[in-house]
Amino acid sequence: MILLLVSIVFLIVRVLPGDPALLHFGKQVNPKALAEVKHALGLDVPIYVQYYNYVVGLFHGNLGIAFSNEQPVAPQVLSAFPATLELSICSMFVAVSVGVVLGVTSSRKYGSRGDTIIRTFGVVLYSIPVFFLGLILIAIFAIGLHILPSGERISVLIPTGTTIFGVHIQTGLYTVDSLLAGNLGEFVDAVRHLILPSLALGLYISAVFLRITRSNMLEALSQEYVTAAKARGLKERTVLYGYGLRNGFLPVLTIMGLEFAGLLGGAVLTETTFAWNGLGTYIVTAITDRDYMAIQGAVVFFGIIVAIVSLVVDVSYAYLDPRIRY
Amino acid sequence: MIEFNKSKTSRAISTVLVVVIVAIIIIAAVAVFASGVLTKSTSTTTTTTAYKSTIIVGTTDAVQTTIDPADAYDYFGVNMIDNLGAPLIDFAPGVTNTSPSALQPALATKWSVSSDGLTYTFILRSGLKYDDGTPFNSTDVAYSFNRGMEIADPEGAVVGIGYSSIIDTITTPNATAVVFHLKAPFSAFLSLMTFSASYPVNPTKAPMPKTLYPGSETGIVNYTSGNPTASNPNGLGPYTLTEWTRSGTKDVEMTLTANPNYWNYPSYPKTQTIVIKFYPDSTSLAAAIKSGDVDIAYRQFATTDIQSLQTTAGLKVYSSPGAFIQYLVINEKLAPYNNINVRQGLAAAINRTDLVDTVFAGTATPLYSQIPVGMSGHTDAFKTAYGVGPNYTLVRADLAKAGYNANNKLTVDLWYETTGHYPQSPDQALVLQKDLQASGVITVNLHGIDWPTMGADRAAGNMGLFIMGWYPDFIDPFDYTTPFFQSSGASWLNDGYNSSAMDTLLAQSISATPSQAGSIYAQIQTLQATDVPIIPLYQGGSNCCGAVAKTSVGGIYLDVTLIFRYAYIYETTS
Repeated sequence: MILLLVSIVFLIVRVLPGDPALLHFGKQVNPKALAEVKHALGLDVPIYVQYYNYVVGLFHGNLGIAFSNEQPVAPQVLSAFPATLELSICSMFVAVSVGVVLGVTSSRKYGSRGDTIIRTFGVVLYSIPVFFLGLILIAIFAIGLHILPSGERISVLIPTGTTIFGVHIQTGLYTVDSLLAGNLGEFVDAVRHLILPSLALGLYISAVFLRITRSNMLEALSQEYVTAAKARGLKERTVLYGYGLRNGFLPVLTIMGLEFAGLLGGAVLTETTFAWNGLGTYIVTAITDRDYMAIQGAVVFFGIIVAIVSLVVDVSYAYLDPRIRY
Repeated sequence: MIEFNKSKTSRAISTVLVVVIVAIIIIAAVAVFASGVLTKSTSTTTTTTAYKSTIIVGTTDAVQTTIDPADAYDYFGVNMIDNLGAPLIDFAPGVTNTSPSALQPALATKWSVSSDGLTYTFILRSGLKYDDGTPFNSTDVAYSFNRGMEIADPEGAVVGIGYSSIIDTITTPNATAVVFHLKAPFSAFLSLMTFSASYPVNPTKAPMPKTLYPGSETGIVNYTSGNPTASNPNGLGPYTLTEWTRSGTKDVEMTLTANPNYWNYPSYPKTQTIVIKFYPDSTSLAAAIKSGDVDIAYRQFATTDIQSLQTTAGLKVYSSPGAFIQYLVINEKLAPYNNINVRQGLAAAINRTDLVDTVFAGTATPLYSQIPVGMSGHTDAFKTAYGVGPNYTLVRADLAKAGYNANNKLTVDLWYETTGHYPQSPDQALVLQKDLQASGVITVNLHGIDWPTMGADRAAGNMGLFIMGWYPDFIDPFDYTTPFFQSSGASWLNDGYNSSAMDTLLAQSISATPSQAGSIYAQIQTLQATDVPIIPLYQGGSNCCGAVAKTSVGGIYLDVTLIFRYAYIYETTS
């Protein structure tokens, strides 16, 4: 699957107009210098040779050399990933918390004005472009109240992790690295920087969870086993969460997996709004620079992430639904 | 049937409101508490002196490749070298006219040129050291130039400017004297010495290329993750690099710390530590300066953000007459642009005032010559030839000679880039379209394309009329004339301009003495206004070259050199 993905991307990026070698020259360029750069980038050989070289490199774990700065792609992707991962985890936390709670509440109040209000709230959230929501949050909490930063991941000093038994541990997750370093100030600072982007992205996605949770809860609550449970005199909370939510959660989990995988590919608009340099920014920059290798490398990485997340979701099914066995 | 109950509805609304209010209170409480913790943790950055020890600068720029003088050829990479290294001689901050007399000592205290213009001698300060303590002397200067020419990075400034075609040999009679022997007189040589590619590097950090074939990049000092010292081959400037973090290909943060071995230390730098934070666009940079996340924001702002910042309390907007220029290129290889009357008609139709006011809120400067205002040799040649503009009477007269009138309008295709490579190109295109069409004899079709596509189309010669821009290599009129107008040298624009008269003048300008140069450059600009291969539009402005800072910040010098000098900035403690 990943090879197919790479092959498609390999062809598509080369259809884009623009010469990546030419982009190395901001001003004057002479043909000799241009030829040297093309040779250095491996662009002076036929496209099938480029493809062969790339695929062979891929099977050796080599994502190639980025065209834009002639540095290896793999470390660049890995250096951008922690920012995206940290934001994705926090955003998913916000999204699931808000979405599932409101979804359950909405289903419980089915048909009431409370249900209508919650559904409207969800539609409004999903209708607001994430960057606009981000700008509103920045305007209120950063510019207006001056209580949260407008962007970036940390104020001044980037957490450096710690060294244990001679091994230096630095995850790139600033919250984790600051705790490893035992620096509470940095940890709090990192958390403060996470709040607004996580809220913007999380609230936007929460609308999806709200709708999915609500519809699946309604379906689950209309089943006979729920009626039977109620007839046996079980508490409403037990029926709602033990029977309704657990049985209606499988589709939510599926969407959760898809959304999380999507987030790990980089939330471009959120990253741009909050100056959050992650994978999304990396891919957009690579496309702008016609950096074929960087684009391909990021896509391969993204493909692997999607495969892993899908696997985790599939395994989770078995935990939630005893009927599913692998 | 579900019954709507008013009290239930009210309860639901109340619940949502309570949840939202509680959430906001919790966020605010956490943030305020966190602010307190953070303030405690970072309060040590303030010293008891009159100036704060740390200033945070935000920018949308980034180092494109490296900060090695043998390689860097992008604005921010060059600017970092300006602050981490030092030239032999330099222009004073705030310089208003970049004549040779405006040059002042830096690493060199004296300099002289032989009567034949072939030999330049510089006398260096003695006892200087790099930031790591390595002694500095004249052989390091020779080493640095020879290294750049030996690396011969095809993408770098040394090759781009052609150092090898200018410098013949470099000798070092003693530890404090370095002598440059040129292949031919080069009037811009002293200005060239102020450019980043002429900054001496630390030989212990910047090796000679291991393989010596032309074009080899081996030997270039690249970015090394987690090791700023290994990423920085400079070391003679006011600052040393103590932190450089990248995420992917994007710079995230750089920290500069005062270099006690700097020749002008302790007078400069004024601020012990400069933290540079990188933002993706104007909106996020404006939010950062408004919210107080950064103390200074330098480049690049959209006009709407500049206008908003101008009215923000506690902030000051600095505008700059920087040497960045934008212009219209006319491709004479394509009809109807091969007709000089068409080119002159277009030149007369430009409304620079409207362009500057509408697109840049009046912060940029209308430009009537390829050589920008503030640079030696500048004349308003296009204003002399066509007036302030637009001069529609002249437009109609010129185009009538080419057979165009209100019933048979001249149709032009105007190309511009849409990816932010230059400030607000789409807005510029719209204003140009409106003003050209206001002549009644011109129809303009707009074509927006991304920067990579524009590069390919320029190389293919597909575009007849297109907007371009120019950041100077070094501050000299040479850099604004020869690269554009020389028949052989202008091939990068692919505009087909070929004039023996211009070539003769350019050759004279290269070997001219300072007293002769002014007259020759005046003739060059007049000929440009007559032949119109390029129409200058504007220079500088807050968008490209402006800064916004807290009112407590001082020492910001923005001038024609476009160098942002961190060594001079300071913030007073409240």
